[in-house]
Amino acid sequence: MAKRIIVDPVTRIEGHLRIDCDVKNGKVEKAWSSGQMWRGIEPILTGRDPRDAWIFTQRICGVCTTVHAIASVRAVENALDLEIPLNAQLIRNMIIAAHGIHDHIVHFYHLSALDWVDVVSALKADPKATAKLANSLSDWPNNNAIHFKQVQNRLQKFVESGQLGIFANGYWGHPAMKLPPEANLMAASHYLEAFDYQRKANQIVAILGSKTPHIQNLAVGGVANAINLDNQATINMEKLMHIQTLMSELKDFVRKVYLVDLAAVGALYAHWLPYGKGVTNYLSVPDFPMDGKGTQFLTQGGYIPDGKLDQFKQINSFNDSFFEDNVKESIKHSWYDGDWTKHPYKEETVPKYTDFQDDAKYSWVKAPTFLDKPAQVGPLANVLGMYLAGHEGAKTYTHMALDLISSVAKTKVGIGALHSTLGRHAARCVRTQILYDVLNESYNALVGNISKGDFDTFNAPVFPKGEVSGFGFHEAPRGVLSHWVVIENGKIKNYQAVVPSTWNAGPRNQNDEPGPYEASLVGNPVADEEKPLEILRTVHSFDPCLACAIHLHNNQRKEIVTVHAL
Amino acid sequence: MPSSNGSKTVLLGLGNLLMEDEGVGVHALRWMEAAYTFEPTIQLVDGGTAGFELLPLFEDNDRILMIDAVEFGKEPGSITVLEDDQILTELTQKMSLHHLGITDVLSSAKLLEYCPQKVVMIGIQPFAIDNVTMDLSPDMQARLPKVVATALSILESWGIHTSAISAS
Repeated sequence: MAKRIIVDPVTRIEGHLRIDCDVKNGKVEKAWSSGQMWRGIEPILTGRDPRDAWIFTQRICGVCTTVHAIASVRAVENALDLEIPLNAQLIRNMIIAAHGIHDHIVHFYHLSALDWVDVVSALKADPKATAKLANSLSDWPNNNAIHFKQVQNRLQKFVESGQLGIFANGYWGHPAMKLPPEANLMAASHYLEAFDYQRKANQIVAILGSKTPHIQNLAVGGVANAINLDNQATINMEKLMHIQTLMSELKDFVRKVYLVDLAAVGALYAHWLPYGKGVTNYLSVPDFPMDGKGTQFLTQGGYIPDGKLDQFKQINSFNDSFFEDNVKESIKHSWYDGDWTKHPYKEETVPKYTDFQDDAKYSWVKAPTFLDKPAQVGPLANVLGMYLAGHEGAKTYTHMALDLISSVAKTKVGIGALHSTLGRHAARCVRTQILYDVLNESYNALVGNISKGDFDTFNAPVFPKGEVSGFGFHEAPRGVLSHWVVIENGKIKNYQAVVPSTWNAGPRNQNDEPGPYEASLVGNPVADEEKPLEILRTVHSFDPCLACAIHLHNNQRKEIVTVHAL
Repeated sequence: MPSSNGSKTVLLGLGNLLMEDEGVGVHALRWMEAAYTFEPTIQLVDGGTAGFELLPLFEDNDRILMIDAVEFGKEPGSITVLEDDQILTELTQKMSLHHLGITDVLSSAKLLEYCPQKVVMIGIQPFAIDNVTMDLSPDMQARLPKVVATALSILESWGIHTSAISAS
């Protein structure tokens, strides 16, 4: 008999996500992804000065403040056809690369590793055997028995205190947890170390952005950072040296710890590689421009239809019409008035709530489409796009990860395995390696440009009479983010943000095709309906984050999983 | 009265500024920033809706005072002060696995053995959070002086002196 499993909420951040799955014979047959909060942020921008929009948009989301600020200034600059100084571009690149590294480390270790790693089992590990395992994989200095013993003691104390806190809701001892105690201890130890390294990445954002969580240094036309190597208050030699130190520490962690842990988890869960494929239309965009106009990029992107890698079509610039013309959103299954599929410049946002209707409207999230099809976005789409565009780092790190997984799993794991739940984790790790290179290259270019005597960081925008429109995209940690703005006589007339989690968490579209979360869950095993760990694994692999960031605390204890017979 | 003698304090306003009373913590922080001067041992931080980005504050400070909207199921506008372990006990939802909010930041701080002497949260039951607006509801706006007074009295009890900036 089929049963309906409802997981609500899946995430406690960023507006609530509810997942419904019909399960039969231990497998998901059909799934629905529903955003449970209205994200009508855009109307607040109407009538405002476009130069201020980024200050408001970075409040859309609590996790990705920086990315909404970047996409917003790019959209307004695109509408004005405004080129920005090279220094400004490079400083922005460093901020978004460092932010991306921070975000990917946090996602892997702190938001999703515990779907695969059993912390309680780590208490049973032999620290010496753990050191032996860890040393066979990496020469990271903390991979020694003394350190692992200390970590184990700390975990023991924490578990005994009865206040499990962040571990309280883990599915410990779940039959789908397969790592041996030593692998669990190694991962738990790196989980703790990862806190320090995500902080180092964020310090780079803070040094350049003046402040986090909300950066202060952006401006339509460039950045507000002054460069004067001898002045305390500006970007100077001391700050650049500090950034360089942080970068070299980050490099070791992402290469010697993150990449290795990813491969260990991938290999020891190789039986999970067939699950979670879902929508294989992949969309990504180029990013990290190395010129003021946005035509030369350090990372590439484009569109892959239906998993057909030979039909990849690259997106080439901030003005690319292939991207601009083919993004639409459908509201057939969303709680808005009407049934239309429109281009973002033409959308209106009029809420109309019904209750949850399986075959009609069931989500506050709209269904974005590219070439009228659903598309998966995120690090996997980005890495595949870079790989096909011939990006050297994408090829090197992808093969490094796959070879390491193959050698630990003792079976050949090829690039096709990336179309999966674990593949999304692997791609995120590969992308982190590339982001480090991007950070380093942008840093060197900035130092080089300053040493040539170029200190420019800002070109003043001029707003024309009449109407202009523009779009700005950014390959954000969760995938393609685009902001769309229509400006009339210097004031915002319409503003839309098409965010990564909307692409992935979107409901069925105008042709009733399921969105990426929904499609990826079909066929997933579910061993215990009351503890649907496998459903969480697949949804978490997308790094879910619904973009409205209501985070009001709730002291009502509430069950998250309900199961009923159909 | 205890003295602040060099120990570091952070005043942290939390919430989403775009969601009406959800942003009350940040509104209160901005009010205090504009209307009072503080001694240099206290740092005022607009935390927005950030998660782990706030974790270093728990490592670097001895005392943390947070202001946030909290759904207590109480009378709108009521102010509840939670201290130390009470915060986690009261606010931990049996919610999803390992996604983060301020409670996860608190419990991660514990796991990492960051030991601030005192963590206090001023929780305010919102009147309205349904409108997308940067303004507080009029009822909450009227309640703001009380929120600020609560925060100031807690700081005072920690030996932290503030003075109102005169209008002249």
